[in-house]
Amino acid sequence: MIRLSELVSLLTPTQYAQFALLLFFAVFVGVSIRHGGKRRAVEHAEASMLPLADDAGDVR
Amino acid sequence: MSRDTLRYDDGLVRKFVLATIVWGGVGMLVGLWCALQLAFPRLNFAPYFTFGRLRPLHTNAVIFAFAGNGMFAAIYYSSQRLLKARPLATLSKIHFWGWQAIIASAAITLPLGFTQAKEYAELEWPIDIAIAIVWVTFAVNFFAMLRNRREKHMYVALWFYIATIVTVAILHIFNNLVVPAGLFKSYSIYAGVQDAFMQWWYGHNAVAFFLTTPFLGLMYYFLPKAAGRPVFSYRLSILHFWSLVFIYIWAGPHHLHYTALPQWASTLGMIFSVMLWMPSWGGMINGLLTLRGAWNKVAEEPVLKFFVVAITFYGMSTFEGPMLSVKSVNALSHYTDWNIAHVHAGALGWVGFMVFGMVYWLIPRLYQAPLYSKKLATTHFWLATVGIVLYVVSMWAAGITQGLMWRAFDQTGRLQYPDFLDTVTRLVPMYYVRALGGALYISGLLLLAYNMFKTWQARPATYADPEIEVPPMIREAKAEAKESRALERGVEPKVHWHRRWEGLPALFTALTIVAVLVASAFEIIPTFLIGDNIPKIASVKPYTPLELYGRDIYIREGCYNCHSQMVRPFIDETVRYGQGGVPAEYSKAGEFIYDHPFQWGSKRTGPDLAREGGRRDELWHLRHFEDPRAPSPGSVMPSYPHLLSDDIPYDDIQSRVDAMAMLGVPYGKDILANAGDVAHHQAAEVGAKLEKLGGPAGMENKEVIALIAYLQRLGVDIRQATPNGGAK
Repeated sequence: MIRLSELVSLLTPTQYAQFALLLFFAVFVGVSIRHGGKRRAVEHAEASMLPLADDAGDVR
Repeated sequence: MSRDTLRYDDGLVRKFVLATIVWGGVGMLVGLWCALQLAFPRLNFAPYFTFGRLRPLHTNAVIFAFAGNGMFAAIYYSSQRLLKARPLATLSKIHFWGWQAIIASAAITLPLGFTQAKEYAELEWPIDIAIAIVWVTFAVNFFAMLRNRREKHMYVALWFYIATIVTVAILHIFNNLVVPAGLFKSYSIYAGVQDAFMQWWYGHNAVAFFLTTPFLGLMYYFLPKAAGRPVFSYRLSILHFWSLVFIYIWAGPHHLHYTALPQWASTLGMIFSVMLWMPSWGGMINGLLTLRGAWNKVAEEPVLKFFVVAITFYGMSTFEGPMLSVKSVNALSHYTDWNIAHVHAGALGWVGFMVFGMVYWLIPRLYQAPLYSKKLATTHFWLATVGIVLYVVSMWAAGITQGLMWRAFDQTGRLQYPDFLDTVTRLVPMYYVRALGGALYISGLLLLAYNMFKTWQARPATYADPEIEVPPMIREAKAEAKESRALERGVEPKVHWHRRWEGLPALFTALTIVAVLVASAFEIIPTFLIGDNIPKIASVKPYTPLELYGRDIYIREGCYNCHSQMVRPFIDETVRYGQGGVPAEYSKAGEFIYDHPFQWGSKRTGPDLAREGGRRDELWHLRHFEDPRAPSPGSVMPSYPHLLSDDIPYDDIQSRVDAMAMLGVPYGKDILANAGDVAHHQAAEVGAKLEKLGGPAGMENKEVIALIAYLQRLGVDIRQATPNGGAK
């Protein structure tokens, strides 16, 4: 049975790093697409007002 | 839809704000004392108040007490309002008093010399367990607010808080895994390269997730409130969040350039550190542009003054950090005061000013009285700003001076400053300027304390505690909607839109954990599992029981705060740390396989000690510990007279050896059976040698003998190695 250290050694550290970079860019592109469209603009505008509105409420 | 009512728990916030100011004063005063000790070494009072024991107290107090309490105040104030939910009273009490007890225990144990010797993770294992319990209490309290929230959208500040809570828990647990050798003594389960890697994975991300992400959450909440306008770009804040969370966790290895860490890990740390510049500046620009159209208020409002300078320092520090992570720059800057300048630009400029801005904004609201004096607040701002500039500029000058002096060769090819002391005494005038800068910064904090006290005196007899009308909890609204639909249709309802929002806190937390764990796994697993990362050296043997105890004294006295044990592969270092005209071997990964914990250090106020063994005789060391300025005039090292009077506790050595054996250190049967006797025998030999050199008689049972034995062992094994890793 293959040992864990042998399994990890199938890739070189450089290949891990390259894979990690690709993974990061994929996440970055995904987040950019998800939040970059005009459809989200209204939602973002509403959300950005939350700190200014958070004391609002009927004080008894 | 039915309405609900709520009262905010501002009493909790008041307590955390007070603790922030009190502990901030303590932490910064200890820092000022440490700065003065480097300028005037007679201010070291052994055994409890030496630089090596006080410096960890300063860093822990400023990070976990000042920044920590400030962060908790910000989180509890803003989260209650953003979520329209109140924290749980019992958990809040446990969190507040538990955290203060932890800080008090740190203030007691660190001067007593109880330390794990890992920067910003010095506290011993019982306190580490307490930290984990209190942190989990905080997490449960925060997530209970999320669960009981009445606001659909989770504002971006809350994301930063979630990242802080989950990541700090992960970092704390994995970096503090130890085997105890007593109530206040333990050994890291990792050794050498792996311990160094784990430590700086923790250390750098403590900066990221304790000193950056919560304060970015603070910025995204309190800056719009103070400026009276929303954040410039909410979209940019989202990109800022995810990019930071994903990139930061990789950057730790840049603390270990040119050490025995494998090159690939070091390069990976550098690349991700440079990438960090972009999201960091995205956040800075987002913060500054939030003030568009409100810059006139900056001239009037001390709160905004503090915020603007804080965000500017955030930008400057997050440019300087990636620059220092570039290997060629790091070769000059590392181990020098340049790093001290960098961390203080971040801590005093970014964290400190964000906290001060927030506190000035909160004081009138928490004490329900106008701020006593805006003029004093503005004076505080200018004192602190001038203080930071003096501090940072003097440490830049000291760092670059020292780095250049270390590597300077004269026209004959010899080191221009072969005596390390020359590179220390040159810096002392800059240490005076640093102390002045620190004193100005602290005087500003005292003005804040006075301003706060006077405002508190003007508080109403009873604080108004208004009841706020709020929507029902999201989860209750969901249940209500589900029930009414079921009644109307007579069937199970489809998934309501509430459900998606209901799932978001869990989803966000899960995604953050995944981002942190995936990034960590890519670095940590190969470091631990790829066999050829740490080539074995046959001549490297475990420390003897006496040397092990001597190493524990080295750790107890905090020697790692000023001395590294890592000869980098640079010509000036191999020449400087060589012996008899022969350059030293640069440090190899295989040398450290029995080092639990590693002692590579991060600063050279004194010389590197990795090749110290045999450089000087035992008598020189004894005189040096008794009074460093006798053999080395101008030295800034503390005196350690207690080492010459305190006895070696031979009975305690066995438990230490047993703990190391549990970690896989291959001790023989005789040592495992009689470690104390073996140590006693070696101590007698060292004592006899000392006497033969003209030293005092009867020293063989004193602690200084164990420490000398340890120092004389450093670098000896590698000299016995053959080029292929065998033994001569």
